[in-house]
Amino acid sequence: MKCSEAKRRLSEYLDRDLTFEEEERLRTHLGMCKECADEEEQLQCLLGLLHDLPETDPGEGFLAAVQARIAEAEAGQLEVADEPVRESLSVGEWLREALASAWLRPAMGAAFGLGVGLLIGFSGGSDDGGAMTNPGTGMPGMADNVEAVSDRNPADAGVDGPFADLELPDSDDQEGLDEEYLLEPYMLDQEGQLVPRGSIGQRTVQSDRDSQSDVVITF
Amino acid sequence: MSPSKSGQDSRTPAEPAPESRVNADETRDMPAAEQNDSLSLTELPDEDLMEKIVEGSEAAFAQLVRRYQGKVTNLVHRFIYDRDRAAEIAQEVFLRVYLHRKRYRRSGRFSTWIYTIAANLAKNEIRRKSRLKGVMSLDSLLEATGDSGAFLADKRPGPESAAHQHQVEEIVMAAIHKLPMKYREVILLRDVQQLTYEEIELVLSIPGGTVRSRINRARNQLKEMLEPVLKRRPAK
Repeated sequence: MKCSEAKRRLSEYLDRDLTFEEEERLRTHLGMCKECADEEEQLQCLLGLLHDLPETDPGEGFLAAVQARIAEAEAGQLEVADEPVRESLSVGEWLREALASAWLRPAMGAAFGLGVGLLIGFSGGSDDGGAMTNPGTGMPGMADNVEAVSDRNPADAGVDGPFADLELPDSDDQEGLDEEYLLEPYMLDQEGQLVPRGSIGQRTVQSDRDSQSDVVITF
Repeated sequence: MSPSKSGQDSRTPAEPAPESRVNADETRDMPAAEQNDSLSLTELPDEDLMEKIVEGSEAAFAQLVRRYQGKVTNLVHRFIYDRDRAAEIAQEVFLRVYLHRKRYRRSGRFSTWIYTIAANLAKNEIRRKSRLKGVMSLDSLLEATGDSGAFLADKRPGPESAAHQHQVEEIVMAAIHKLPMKYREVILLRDVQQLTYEEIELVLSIPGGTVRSRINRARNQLKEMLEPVLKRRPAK
């Protein structure tokens, strides 16, 4: 087993998520490779720290507070969402979800691309604290895939407009793409414009789970 | 998740105790009469409690709240890093569970349903707030602790240790909050709440391969951020 594979598998090893054979191979490697063994030890320390975090005390009277809110809601004094679970999506995220639907993609991709470009141009970023937003683009929902399939940084190329301040993430973030990226229908072209991926053509990216196999994006 | 073939070792258990397991603390703070009535409820799994709640049992709902109030408040608190607001959002989670109780389907585990509600409400809160309140930078926290490794390794009981523990918590939380949301959420669900991979798939609606790769990357990023303290902390 190579170090790259060993390091990729360490997390699952610590979670006991490997088969017996995989585990034996990794254990053999760890016995021979000090660097990987050190990494395993540090990951164990990290997990120890995380497991040791104390559970937050909900405070006195939690149940009574919940019951009071239920009474208010049932008396119509409290507005409650109709939907128990769903996240409230921003416009960009909603568009991404819509475009991920297979029946929409072929027919409406170009139209949505134009719309998304205009929307982003007008909004000039997001005010959601960056938590659900790509840290480089500031575009909600237009996540890391945009950088992952783009060869150049539009900021470096002096592109004007909404992507002028775009920064690509560290190279670490571009290593090994997982399947979520393949659902992203848009990317930046050489001019820094947001376009449907199909218009750029095919591109091969490395699969996250198996470095031996490549995945080809086709739209 | 494939079954482990490994024997006893120091690694993290892959299968945490099921959420539906009876918690001995659930009746601790209840009056004696109520304790008797609730004794049978404490033994019921979550899904049976939900059935009773749908039938109108307030005692079953109270039992469910006691069972999950700490876990839900903890998850929301770790997401948004605001203890007071976390309690309010946790209350909102239970409010939604109650008001939408008839939408719950027994085919799915209750724990994944309530964690999904909690995670989504927490993420909505983060979207709503432009800045996180009270988050100190990781660098300043690490600097303030000085000899961080020895500091973290100190587990002696006593008031000083409690203060140390609080500072450790601050450092770890600051590091978690430097992670992108997609990594933060998997770390919180896996390593803090100790959900299984399969449960995380359901809570976040992402495939198993994505869960695994995100956990791997999240841990590696966290490890790099906390390297100064991890280097000197003895492995468990």
